[in-house]
Amino acid sequence: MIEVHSLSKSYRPGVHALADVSFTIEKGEFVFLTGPSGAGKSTLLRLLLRADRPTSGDIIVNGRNLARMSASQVQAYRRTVGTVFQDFKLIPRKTVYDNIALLPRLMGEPETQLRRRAVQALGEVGLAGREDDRPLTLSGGEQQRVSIARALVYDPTLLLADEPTGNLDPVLSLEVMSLFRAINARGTTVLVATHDRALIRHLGKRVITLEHGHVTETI
Amino acid sequence: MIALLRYSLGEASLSLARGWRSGLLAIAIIAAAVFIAGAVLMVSINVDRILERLAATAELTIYLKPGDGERDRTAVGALLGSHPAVTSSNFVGADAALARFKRELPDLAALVGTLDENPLPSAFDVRLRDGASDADTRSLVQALQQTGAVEDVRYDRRIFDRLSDGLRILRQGGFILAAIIVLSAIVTITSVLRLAYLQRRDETAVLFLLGMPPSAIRGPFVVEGMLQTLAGALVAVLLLWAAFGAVNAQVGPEISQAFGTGAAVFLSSGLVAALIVASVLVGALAGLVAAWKEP
Repeated sequence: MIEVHSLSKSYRPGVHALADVSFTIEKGEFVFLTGPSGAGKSTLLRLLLRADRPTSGDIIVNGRNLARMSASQVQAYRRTVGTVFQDFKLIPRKTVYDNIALLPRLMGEPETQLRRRAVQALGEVGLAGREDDRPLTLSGGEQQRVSIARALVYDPTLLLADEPTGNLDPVLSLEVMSLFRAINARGTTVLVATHDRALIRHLGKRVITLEHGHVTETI
Repeated sequence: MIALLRYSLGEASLSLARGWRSGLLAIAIIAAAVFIAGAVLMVSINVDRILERLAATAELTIYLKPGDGERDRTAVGALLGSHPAVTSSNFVGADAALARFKRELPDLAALVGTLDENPLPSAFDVRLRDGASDADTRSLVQALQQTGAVEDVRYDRRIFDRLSDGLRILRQGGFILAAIIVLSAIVTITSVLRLAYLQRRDETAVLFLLGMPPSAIRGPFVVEGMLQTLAGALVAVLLLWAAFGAVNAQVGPEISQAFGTGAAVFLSSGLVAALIVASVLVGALAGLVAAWKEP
């Protein structure tokens, strides 16, 4: 599913955000990416999303080298990846439904089909009936669940989450992780970047540890 | 495509409603630019009509001595017919000259009517060949005077040329002024749209990361630019129409009578459409430039 070969990223000469990182994630795996702040977790996720280009090395997702994609192919690739951010990144002026439906609607998905899928996604994250709410009227946990529903609506083959529980209390964090586990159980590959060791221990999944841009441990 | 258009229109309308002050400023500047460009164009068209009319009238008028005979008229006519600087000539007898005077200057017709005899001489109206030089004209005048049948020669061409040159300079100045204002309007609208783009940068950055196509990112700003310039151009055309009506009511009849050009004309519908379309295209371009850089 994901093959990372000798990946390096430098923002300044001599300072490596990532250095010679290699690993493989199989299709349908649930993997945690962990390490202290500044270890390179977010950089790696940005590279996996092709939001940035590596200084050297290759990332191959579903057999396609991200470096060789054109701009339109990158956008098409991103639509196959569900992305969840620490700060949710919802559009406050739009309703929950519009936040979920905006992109598929622009891609020409019929409204009736789209509504059915959005309602289903909201049901999966426990927010059925909240379509017309505005994000700012929701709690942090609910906003994160909306962002997960937004990621689910395209039925992604890969889900990337960057510190998805960073703004949530332990109970809500466990709820979010349960959602990821359920998504993973449907066959979606899940990669979650977090520095929350307790959460990682609780779920007992495979862990890739980064420190100072290097992979130090793969369990 | 329809979804993209609907989304762009919706987002552009929202953005215009949110930033209505800067939007109004942009519309006002665009309206000023289009108004000046349109006004220069309109004045230019009407001045061209006057110049064409002047060019069509006699450039050289040869007044024959009073009591001229048929022989003198034939001699002058023959000279004009054979001279290379002459395109055409038309004999206007004293009676015809008087009738024309009364027709063209009705206020003075009564005054002439009080005289015992017709004070106007017979004359030839002469049109010169395009490109005839001053030397050609001087040689013609000299030859005419040597016939002894000519009382006076009035030469309009030089005045016409100077008038034409002066108006050309004025017109060029007007177009340069219009171009400067159009340029400043483009800069203003691009800045206004760029500001709107930056205000929504967080939002567009997320949508871009989620895979939104660049056309959908830029679409709302392109449409916003088009809406602003469309509004500005429509305001300008309405103002032009009002200004044209007011000025025409004040001085139109005098100009028409003085030059015999008929009523002044407003911009043709084709030109109005071209002004509006050009403005809207400029708006689209400004929106594209403002949102060109990926978030």
